[in-house]
Amino acid sequence: MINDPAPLLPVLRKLTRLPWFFLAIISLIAGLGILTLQSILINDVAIYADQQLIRYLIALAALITFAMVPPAIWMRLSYPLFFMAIVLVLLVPLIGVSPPGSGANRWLMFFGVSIQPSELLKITLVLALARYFHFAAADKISHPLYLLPPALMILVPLLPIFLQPDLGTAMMIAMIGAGMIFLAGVNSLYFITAIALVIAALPVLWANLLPYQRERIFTYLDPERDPLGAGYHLLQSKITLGSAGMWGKGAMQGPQIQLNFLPEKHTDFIFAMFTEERGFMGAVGLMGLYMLCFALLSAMALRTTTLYGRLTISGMALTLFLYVFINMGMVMGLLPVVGVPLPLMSYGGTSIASLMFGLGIAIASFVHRSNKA
Amino acid sequence: MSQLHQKGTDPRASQSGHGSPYRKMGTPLDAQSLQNKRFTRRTLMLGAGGLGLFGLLASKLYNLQNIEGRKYNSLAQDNRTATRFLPSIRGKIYDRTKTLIASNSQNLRVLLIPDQADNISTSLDLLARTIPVSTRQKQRILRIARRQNPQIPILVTDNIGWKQFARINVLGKRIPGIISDISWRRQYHYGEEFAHIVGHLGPPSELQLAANPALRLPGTLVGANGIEQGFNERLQGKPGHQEFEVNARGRNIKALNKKPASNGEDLYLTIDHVLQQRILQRLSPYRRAAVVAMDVNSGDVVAICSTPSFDANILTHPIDEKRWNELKDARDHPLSDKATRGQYPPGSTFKMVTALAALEAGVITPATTFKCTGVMEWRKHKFHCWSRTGHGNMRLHKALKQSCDVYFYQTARKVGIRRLAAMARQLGLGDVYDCGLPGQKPGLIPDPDWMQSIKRRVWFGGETVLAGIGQGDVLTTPLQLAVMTARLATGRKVQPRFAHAKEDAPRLVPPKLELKEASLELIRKAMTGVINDRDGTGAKAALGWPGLQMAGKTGTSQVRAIQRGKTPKEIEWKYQDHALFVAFAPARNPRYAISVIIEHGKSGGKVAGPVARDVMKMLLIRDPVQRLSLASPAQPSIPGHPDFQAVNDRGGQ
Repeated sequence: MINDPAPLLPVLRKLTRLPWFFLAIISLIAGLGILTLQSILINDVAIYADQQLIRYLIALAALITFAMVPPAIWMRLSYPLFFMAIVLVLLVPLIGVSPPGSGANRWLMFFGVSIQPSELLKITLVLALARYFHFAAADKISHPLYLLPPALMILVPLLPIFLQPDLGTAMMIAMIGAGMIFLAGVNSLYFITAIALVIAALPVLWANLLPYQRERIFTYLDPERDPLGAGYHLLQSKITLGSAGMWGKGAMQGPQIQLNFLPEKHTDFIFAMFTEERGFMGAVGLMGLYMLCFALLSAMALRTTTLYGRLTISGMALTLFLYVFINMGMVMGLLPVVGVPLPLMSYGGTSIASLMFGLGIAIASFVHRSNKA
Repeated sequence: MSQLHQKGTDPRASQSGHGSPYRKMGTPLDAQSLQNKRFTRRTLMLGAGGLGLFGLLASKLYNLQNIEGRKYNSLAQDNRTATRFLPSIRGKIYDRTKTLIASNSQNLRVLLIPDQADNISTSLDLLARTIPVSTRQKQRILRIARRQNPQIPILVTDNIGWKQFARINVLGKRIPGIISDISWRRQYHYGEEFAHIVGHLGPPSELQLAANPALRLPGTLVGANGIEQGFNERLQGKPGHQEFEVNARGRNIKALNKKPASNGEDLYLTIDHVLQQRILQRLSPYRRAAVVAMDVNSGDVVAICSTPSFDANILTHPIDEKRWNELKDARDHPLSDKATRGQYPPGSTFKMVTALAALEAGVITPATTFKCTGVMEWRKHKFHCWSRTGHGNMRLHKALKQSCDVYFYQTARKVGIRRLAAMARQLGLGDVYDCGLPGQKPGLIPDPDWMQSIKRRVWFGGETVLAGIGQGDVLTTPLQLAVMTARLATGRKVQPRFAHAKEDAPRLVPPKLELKEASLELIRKAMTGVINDRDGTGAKAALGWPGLQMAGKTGTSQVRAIQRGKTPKEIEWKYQDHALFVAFAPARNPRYAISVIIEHGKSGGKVAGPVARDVMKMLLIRDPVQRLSLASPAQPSIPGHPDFQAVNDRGGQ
């Protein structure tokens, strides 16, 4: 199995090898999120912020615990976890429930806890692909036969999600999968061909979109089409961002938020809320923090010695990046509104938990890396 | 590079390494280190790409704040946008004669926009100095304000006078959040005549609200019944909206985008308001009655009346609970439309179905004879004829004319329930029509399958016998009976129609029914005999006009089993038989078919017959084609009806 030069590192040694600076940065981002959630009072209690703080602390503890586990164990669990996530995704259409106020069935209820299997799928896909490429012969991975298993790993769970229909998640899974294959070193001709094919397939895809999906695209292209219906969300979001100013309006001072103009402000649209309070500088600062996260993760990946570790860490970085980019792009009106949370900031259990679990598993490889020290 | 060496010691590296140790141009890099190099390179590539995309985000944000920012800032900060819906005006409804039935009158209203009021309660208190605002109203407004988008105005009071309206316009400007506007209110010009068929407006249901948020506009009403509901989409139109830039006090500063409302389309009914008025008047002596009259060729329903009626205007405007309960619980149920929702046993009017089913099946011929002794004994049951002494030997023509029950018991037994039910359905009974009228009742044509699936028991032969004379479980609506009569008169699959969107829209001739013309002709001849022969049960319905005969059939359907030994006077009103009559005229070359039902009217021939006669006269005299042919000096007149008089006068000139 995996060559683990430091399997029996004492816990204290492992703790010192944790990427503490990175953990500080993500905690800072999560702290900013909780601070922003403080602005929403329900019966004079900032219930969202309190809940989010507890959730984050639990998730952080889980991350550190996961990072202590030898990566060989995670590697062995990669396929079973991925398989489990696929089963859960397939269960959604059968026993799924819809969150209040939304029509889509995307949640599963287990013992009173609701989870979104598609969130788990993104993380476990990274693990499964990393495991596959770790054992694939490096000089043969560009061979089509060798590419068939990873292609199936991406496409099989994609189909039920596409049919659910959850276009945003489906696109994200496809992009994570493609990114992983790219990082594994597969011949770049595949990617050039794939991009060309996607461009050619766009008209066909358009013809098969559901009316509500098309409506979203239309309103994305022209939100003023329907300012009180489908475009209301985006228009309010843009107004919130556009009126924030350089330094923002201060905590609990944003009229757009305090007057309830912006729906879903505590979940998917938290970036707009943050910007209204902290201004352009705050928003750019937040983006900088996220960039720092990616940079730190990439550096970790490069310093990790096993391919499994490198791929899990950069796969998580990619996932994090896609979340942040799609969410911010959506809130600013660059991308269609697809319902993707802003990681570490948005209020919500599954998204923060699955992300922190994934990071923990990835960092495990970094903690257990071998070096001359 | 230490990692790479480390990697080299990985056992699998030696496994994979033996494949092709050399890559391009003999560079002595093994595949493993090439993969590692690629990983580093590609990580940097993705990192650069990510940085670029974040740059894009930052520039977009900068753009939003600075280039477009001025626009968004003015929209957001102190001057926020307010969007006002521009309500669409509901289409008008005209009748057959292009007379206005439903239109919209101006309604002066006071509204409150929660978003623009600093404190809703204070604003309402200030308003109360100008116009009365009750505590209940205030509570209602506060309740709504908590639930909906604060930009959507809430109705405070409507239907205020011009004087109050002017005062609000002047004083209201100082009360934050209070605005006044002019909206449209539905008005029914023949509220009583068309109450059931046109229906009325009501607040939208939660389901409709979910589908169309524009309906949340204060005072928005949708069709709640009848044609208003059935043709709601067409009548309603689509509301537009107007965006304003408003200052902190909620006053409009500048108009921005405007999308005008598209108004609803007008609708033309097939019904004639004059006929409605006259028929309702003719029905006034009876407690509960209904009449349906239709053009047999086009299926256009020219009159459809249900008595008692009510004024539809009452239901469209906010009605207080007491008045609503009064109307709801009033004697004889004015709210229920007996013409399309009343289900009655058709009684003897069903005998045409039995006869036609038997003729088509070949189980009887016009010469088949059954002897009526006043009772038929079959399987230990006794089935009585309405004539206790019996009719003697009966053939089809005479049996239908005299409505002999025993003859049709025998016929029904021979033809069987399945063929009987199939014929009834072919003639339009037992189902609702797809003609845009909601709430039609389907009636019931029983058969063994229905019995098995709904009543969970087997079908008895005796039930076939009873169904043969339109009793037992058989139920029909007056509308269905009119359609049945029209189909018998033309032999075509006539479908009722109540409205069309375009004036004089062409109508296709309905397809032929799969029936032999000879069988139909026998039935029509017998129906002519019912009215015009001395021994017919409907002799009282004779038009009495030379050269123009009506054909029809009486029906006296039992509400309860025959109560022997009691004279009709001893039986309570609500257990009296229903009086029915169906007819078409002219007997040769028919134009109109009608059905009449008088609940607990005791006798089809004596009570419903004369009503049918008078209704048919009204129809023929109003008819533009018949009017010419009727205009001869020999025409009799009906006293008290100006139209009948008019024809006579003109004839006399």
